[in-house]
Amino acid sequence: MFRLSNIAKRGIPRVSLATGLRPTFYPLVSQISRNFSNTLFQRYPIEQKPSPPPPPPQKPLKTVTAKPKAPAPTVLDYTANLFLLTEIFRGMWLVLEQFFRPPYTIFYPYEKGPLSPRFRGEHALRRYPTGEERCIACKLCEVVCPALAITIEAEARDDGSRRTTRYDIDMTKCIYCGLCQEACPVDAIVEGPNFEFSTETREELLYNKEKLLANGDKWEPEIAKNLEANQYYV
Amino acid sequence: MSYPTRTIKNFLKIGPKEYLRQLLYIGDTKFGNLVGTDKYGNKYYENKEEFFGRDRWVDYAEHYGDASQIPSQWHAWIHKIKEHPPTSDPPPSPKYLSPHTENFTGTRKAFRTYNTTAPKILAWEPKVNRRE
Repeated sequence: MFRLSNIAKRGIPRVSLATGLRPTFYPLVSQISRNFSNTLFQRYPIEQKPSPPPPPPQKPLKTVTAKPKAPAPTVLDYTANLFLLTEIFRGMWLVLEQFFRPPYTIFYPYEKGPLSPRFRGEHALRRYPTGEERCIACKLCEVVCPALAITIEAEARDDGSRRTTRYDIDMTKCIYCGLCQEACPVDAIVEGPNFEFSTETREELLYNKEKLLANGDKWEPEIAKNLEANQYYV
Repeated sequence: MSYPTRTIKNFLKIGPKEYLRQLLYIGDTKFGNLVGTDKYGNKYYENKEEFFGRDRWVDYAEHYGDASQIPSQWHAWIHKIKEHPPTSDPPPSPKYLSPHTENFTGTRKAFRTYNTTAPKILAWEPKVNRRE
């Protein structure tokens, strides 16, 4: 029969939990007990205690005597509950209690909920500190986009560098998975922290390159901070 | 709203004038430290005694303020992405940083998409010689 206690016993002398396991800083590997946790406990020999005396034979458990059942409600009880509206008043008392408790509501436009630095909101195209746009039109984001929301066209610029002439994102198609910013080798396309870009018409959500660059120019202080906070995990 | 003791406590701190203004404005009585003001006039407050989520709030410059009016420097603070406000922990401000704009949908400034490339197909233009 499988028991965790059998695993613990295997090859390791039996020790008392109170005295045998103590956290230390430099345990030997062989001394680390198998306790499936991240805390390292050193197992060291302790003075052998005499085996505990066999437990006394257990007394037979007392059988719990069943309480005498409450008498079944009579017709008079039903009628009294019905006509005195007891259930209604109990429910109203609950509502009254709740009325005097503080609500756990956030007043949205004034108070706003917490966001992660990894939040994936409105897209933005970033620039280098010189003001040069980062995107080199490698089209990795276009390829990886599972919703086929990105359209890119590229041309060589007059100075010979390869840049996009068209970078369109259909925000109505986008599923905000964040694969585009993961695919981007130059950190050009990012999903910024903004989620307040809802529109009245559908056409406003067909973003082109200029809109995305403008988003980047607007949100760069926060985007840079978020990327900085996330740099250890990418 | 809130529970009565908190309302009374905050009322005694902020006074009747501010109380009435807040009642017409957010319908609540709040008291907190003024952490800073952005360049658009929005005021940011903090009171750590409120529970998480209500401890930072903004007093918009406009009466009917919109959440998209919070600039990106303060956006990180009010959403608790950053612990410290931009007054004490300023974020990077690149030279191409543009002024913050609110969400212009429903107004004449709303974004209308357009083509950023040159047309690839040139339509045939019929040329007819003029009749003499």
